[in-house]
Amino acid sequence: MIFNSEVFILFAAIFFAVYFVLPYRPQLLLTLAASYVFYAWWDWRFCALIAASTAFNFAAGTVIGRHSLSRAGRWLLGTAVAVNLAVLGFFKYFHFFADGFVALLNDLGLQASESTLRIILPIGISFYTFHSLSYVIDIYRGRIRPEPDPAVFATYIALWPQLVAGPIVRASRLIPQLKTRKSFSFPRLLVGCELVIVGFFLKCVVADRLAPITDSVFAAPSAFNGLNVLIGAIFFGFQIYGDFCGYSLIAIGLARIMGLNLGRNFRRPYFASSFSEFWQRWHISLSGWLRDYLYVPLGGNRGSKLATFRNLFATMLLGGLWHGAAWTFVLWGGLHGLYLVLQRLLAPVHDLVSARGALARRGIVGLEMAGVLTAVFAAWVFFRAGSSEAAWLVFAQMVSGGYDFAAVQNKFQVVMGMGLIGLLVAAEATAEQPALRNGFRRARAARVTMAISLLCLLALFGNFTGSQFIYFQF
Amino acid sequence: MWKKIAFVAGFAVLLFAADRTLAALLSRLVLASNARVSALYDGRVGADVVLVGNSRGVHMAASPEWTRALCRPVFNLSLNGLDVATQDVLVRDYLDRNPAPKAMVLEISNLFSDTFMAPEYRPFMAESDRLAALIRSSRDTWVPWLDVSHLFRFNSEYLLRALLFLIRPSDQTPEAIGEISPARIEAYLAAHPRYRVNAEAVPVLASTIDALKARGVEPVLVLAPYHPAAFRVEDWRGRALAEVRRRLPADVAVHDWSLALPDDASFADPLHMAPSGRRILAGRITVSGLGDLASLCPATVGRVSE
Repeated sequence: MIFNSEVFILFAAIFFAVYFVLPYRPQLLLTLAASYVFYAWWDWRFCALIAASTAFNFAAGTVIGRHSLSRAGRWLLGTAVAVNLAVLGFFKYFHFFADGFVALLNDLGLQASESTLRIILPIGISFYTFHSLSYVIDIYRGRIRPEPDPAVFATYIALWPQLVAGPIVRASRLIPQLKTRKSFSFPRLLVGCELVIVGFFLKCVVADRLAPITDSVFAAPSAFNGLNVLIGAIFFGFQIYGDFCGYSLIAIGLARIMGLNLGRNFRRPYFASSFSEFWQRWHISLSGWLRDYLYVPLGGNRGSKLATFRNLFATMLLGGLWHGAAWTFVLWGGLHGLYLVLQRLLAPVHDLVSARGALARRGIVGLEMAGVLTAVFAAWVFFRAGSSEAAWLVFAQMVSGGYDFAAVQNKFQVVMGMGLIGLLVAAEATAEQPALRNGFRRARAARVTMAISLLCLLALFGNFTGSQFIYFQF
Repeated sequence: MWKKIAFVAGFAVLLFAADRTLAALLSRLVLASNARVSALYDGRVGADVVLVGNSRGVHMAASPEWTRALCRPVFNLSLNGLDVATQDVLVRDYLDRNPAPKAMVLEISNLFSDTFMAPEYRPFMAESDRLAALIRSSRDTWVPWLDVSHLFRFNSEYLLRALLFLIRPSDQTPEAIGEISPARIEAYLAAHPRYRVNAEAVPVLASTIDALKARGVEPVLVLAPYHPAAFRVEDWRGRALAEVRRRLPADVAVHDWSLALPDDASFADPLHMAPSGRRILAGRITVSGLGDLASLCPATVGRVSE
């Protein structure tokens, strides 16, 4: 079930009505049961897979825990990682590689056809697989001990607020929180509700109002002029931010009401002045996961420059592939890898200019912010386009399609979209200033006013057709 | 404990007050707008001829041109995607709130679609029991929320239109939507257009016609010009018009203008006319009048091709 639906409102109302009155064990089991109900609402068949994955990783963690940091432990870990990746690979990438293999055979003149077996992609598999991987790896590294209670572990894997689209929360953070009873807290309720309201605003107002423009532009770029296509591409950058950040905030807010702290997943990413900073602000839980479980084990920046570049590129390439079984995601990831490499190569230029004084420093940071934003939005075109050909068509149309505003289609929606983006940017620019941000946090009247304003904007501009969240497909 | 309850209660009261206050303000702004539906509900229209239909009606006529052609005030009430049921409500509300016109031109291509646009006009549901009833009849899950939040009634693209036409003086001249091109024709044909008469819509149209006649308004049914590409997949006109004529009262004439303008320059796409096509059509009406409604301008020979 999706957050922006009536059935979810009913689910949440029933869940919270019962949750806080229960003692610890029933509370934990209720959370687990509710998580499986939440997941089964998509497709009950998915529950068997997540249950099997949970059982396997629970057992694996227990066994690895007896052999952590040993050679046997390494073999056991390798097996556990391989099984998890094999399951993820099978469900997520079967068609990606099968289609490519069939195409290759056909190109070689050997007749081949795709298997008639259609593999359904279980929703959230990328997220809970990464949860499981971090669990077994951290046990091997001695960072955490195996969880002895299967109900606690199963709840960690299936926790309903973050099950289908994250954030990716480490076991070391969440499992300890699941081992104590959570009582009702009014301050937590307020904070949680605040996050949920902001999340719904980002999703139902910002993202869903931009979606019709981006969908129509990316479906047929040649039917629009260059300005229209450029608007569509920019709108997508904000649509995916509103959609994903919105979901994360709703998930984090709901968990906060439950008494669970899932951390933070976004921190105003479009204000980054470097690509590494962008990845410290965008999908923080995934970038942290990739850093700790891929980039660092590959060697990180401990080797030569060339090795560092290779590690950065490989990490981002695989990060792109994590998003989906399509070459456009690989291209997107590869672009970000390239950006990170270029940033390292150009670091001496940044240092040289910055050393010339405060004005020069501000100037170069401003340029860098503009450059990062442009590069990130250009990469989003590959992320959104159905194919690399479609992505290049978008760019070609931007260059040659003409920039007459009178020929822009759906002007009302475009103007509304621009207004919403302006509102979002202004709000985030304010939040970027620590003094203003902290002042706002302390001013209850300001927070109440913001909440009421957002609810009014939701009523006025929200799209409640129950549209899917973009990251559900990953 | 009481502090918390008071906080929640206070928040709810503030939210309710904000919702009702802003909705009342928006209601005034929307009624004051120069957009066509606003003018209807504000009772500001005094036209001899009113046009109504979907986007093809929107682009069929710029009412200033028809006003000049007929030397009578003309008002275009057509709206993009307008379905027959919503059209019926708007026509009846028009007759209740504005002086009855002498003729109403109904562009009938909305008989071939199954859109339902009433929810788009929910900013006016407080002004019209008919409109409110039609919107509620859809039984969509969001309908009860219209009573919970009055701001939600303004959650429609029409709100933006109304706000824009607070500043602009009139929305009676259609916005340019480009020029016809091989790409547009190809896109249209690729959508595999099929024209089937919506059997449920025809009785509703017949009821609208009865309401017009009861008020002494002459109904003039027309099928606006199409680009020839619209008939490339199937020449559906004869079949569709025969079915419409069969289902309507015998004394109601349907004027087939679908092939009146066969040239590319008259169209923005296979379905909608371009400014040059509108001007040609207006010129022909100058000559021939409209149904039984003669032009008050000096007349010459000729008639719109059928």
